[in-house]
Amino acid sequence: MAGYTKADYDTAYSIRVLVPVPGKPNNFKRSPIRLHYHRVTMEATIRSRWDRIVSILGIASADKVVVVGAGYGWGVERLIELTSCQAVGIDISDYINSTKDGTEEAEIDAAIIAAGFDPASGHGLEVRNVAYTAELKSKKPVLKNDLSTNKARNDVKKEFGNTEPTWIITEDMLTDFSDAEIAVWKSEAEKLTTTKICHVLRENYPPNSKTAEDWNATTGHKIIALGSYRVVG
Amino acid sequence: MALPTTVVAQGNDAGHHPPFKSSAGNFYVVAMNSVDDLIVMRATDPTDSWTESDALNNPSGQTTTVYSAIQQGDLLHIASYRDNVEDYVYSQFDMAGNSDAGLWGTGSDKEQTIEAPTNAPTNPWISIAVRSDGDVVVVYAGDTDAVMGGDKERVDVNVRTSGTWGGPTALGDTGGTDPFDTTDVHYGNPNCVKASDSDDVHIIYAFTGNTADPPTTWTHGCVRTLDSADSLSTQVNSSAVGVDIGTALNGRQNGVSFDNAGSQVTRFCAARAPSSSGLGVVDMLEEDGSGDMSFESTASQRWAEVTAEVKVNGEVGICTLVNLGPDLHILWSNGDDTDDIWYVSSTDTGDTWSTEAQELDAVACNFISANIYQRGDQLVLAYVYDDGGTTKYNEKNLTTPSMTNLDDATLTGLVNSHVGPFEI
Repeated sequence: MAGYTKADYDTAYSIRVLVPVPGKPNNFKRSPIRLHYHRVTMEATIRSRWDRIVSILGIASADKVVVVGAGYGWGVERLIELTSCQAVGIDISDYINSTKDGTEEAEIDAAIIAAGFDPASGHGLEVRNVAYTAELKSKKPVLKNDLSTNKARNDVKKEFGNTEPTWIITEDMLTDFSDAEIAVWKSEAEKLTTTKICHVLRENYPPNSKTAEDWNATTGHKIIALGSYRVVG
Repeated sequence: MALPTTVVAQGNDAGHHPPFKSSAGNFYVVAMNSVDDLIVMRATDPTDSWTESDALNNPSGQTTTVYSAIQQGDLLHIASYRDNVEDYVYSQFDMAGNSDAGLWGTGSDKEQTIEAPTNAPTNPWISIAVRSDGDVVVVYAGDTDAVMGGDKERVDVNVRTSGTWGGPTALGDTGGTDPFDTTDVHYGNPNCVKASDSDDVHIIYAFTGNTADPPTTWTHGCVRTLDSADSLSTQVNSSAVGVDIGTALNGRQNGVSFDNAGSQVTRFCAARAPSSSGLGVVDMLEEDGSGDMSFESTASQRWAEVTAEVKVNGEVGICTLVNLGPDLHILWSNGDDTDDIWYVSSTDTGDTWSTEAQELDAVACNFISANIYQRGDQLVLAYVYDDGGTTKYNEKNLTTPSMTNLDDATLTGLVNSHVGPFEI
């Protein structure tokens, strides 16, 4: 299957920027300017998510974790902060891989302009000051990889000193796969025979789709349901 | 004629918009006409007949789906959601005088845009409060965000000062890492009420981490206070006790706030769930010592349950709450009793309740909203309700033997001892 394009990310993530109000520490104005898959809008959410995942799975410093569908690897950053484990993110998106070594500056400015504001003055500058830092999009390695070939799996093993990872964790990804695609991916990923596999996903989304139990039955793997953090398997 | 009377042969809709009494002694109901435009119906004797006021100047072309109204003297402040335009608007109606001419607001006082969300909320909702200086505060289901392709419901507060809306300020999500504060959650069904002793506005709304779009259930209540300088307090969550309204996405209805032995208390009514086991609840909030609201410190007192089912119409809980000092009065549509109207009261701020009893039989109640005022020599719990698609008016006499033959000033003082939708 294809990875997300920039257009896919912009559609899937569309969040009005929250602008602090001076002198009112609990007040945040909702700007009409929307950002997308950017640190200011999603990093805190992903960090909070990984706080829960680490606790649920008991990941420790000796673990070697590959995060599948890692995006820019903000979850990998948090995972390493919490556990000091070895971790690497993988994502097959051409958009992620072509932009991960740059900053968010151009995209933020473009979003501000698209909303009818000037990034250099007024409210546009106010939002830019909230949203933009000079940080690189990815501060941890993110490989273009999906574990679906021997080479792909060997490339991941190289990140861990030519040993298999202890965990494969797919992050908010599995619901984009068809059952046939899942079956193929599963058979390839399980060639890492000593690796445990867990899928973090949205159950019942889209509506009336699979529950965590259904996903567990489909994959035979542990499932963590986002939101409730219900664990199956 | 006798009560109940027909206000308008048209159904009523979601939101809190009880009957009102003007200084001239007339009675008004904000209703909808056959094309879902807002209208105001007026009666000199609500037991007799109702006619539309200022029919030529009502806001039109609205397809209203939810609206809330509150009284400030003879002025009605009305906030509504227009489904055809997908925006929230504000209007005024002046109850002064007996004339039907020129009573709707004009210019920016008529159909003034509060906000036009780019991405409409799945379950629109708006609640309104008015301050002593005329500033208007609304809380509403606002512009949704999107995370991983699914809409995330949001709630906002907005304040009208000197005729201008200041723009949405986020309630709920403020982008932190606390599970209640991240982007990948829903907020909804906000309601507000002005404090009885200040221009603070107390706000309650619902939260869930449920990732469905729209969410299938709320899991927690959240409380904040907007002070008179428009600063929000820190969000307080009901996580310890799970004070939630379950699967009714707009189950929570109006609130009241009053002084209880020197401390502010706030109460909101809610329908907990639409199922056969659904219960009505009253959220019990208390002042935390700094003027802000929090959930009652004693866990067992954080909500009171009405044991009969409170019916839900779509996603909207059919119940209403009014106070008179520490006395609370609730009317609701009882799903266990063919949706007839039932009543329960408390004389101790909600700690204990009377025996629930049927108030009105043989109705199919789809909406209800209540107020308390003096009519003649009686103190009445006045309410409008939708009976199978017709808006009707009825009263429950609250006058006790000790209240008979009281002079007007004393009766007025009793009414003035509460702050609900009615202010003198």
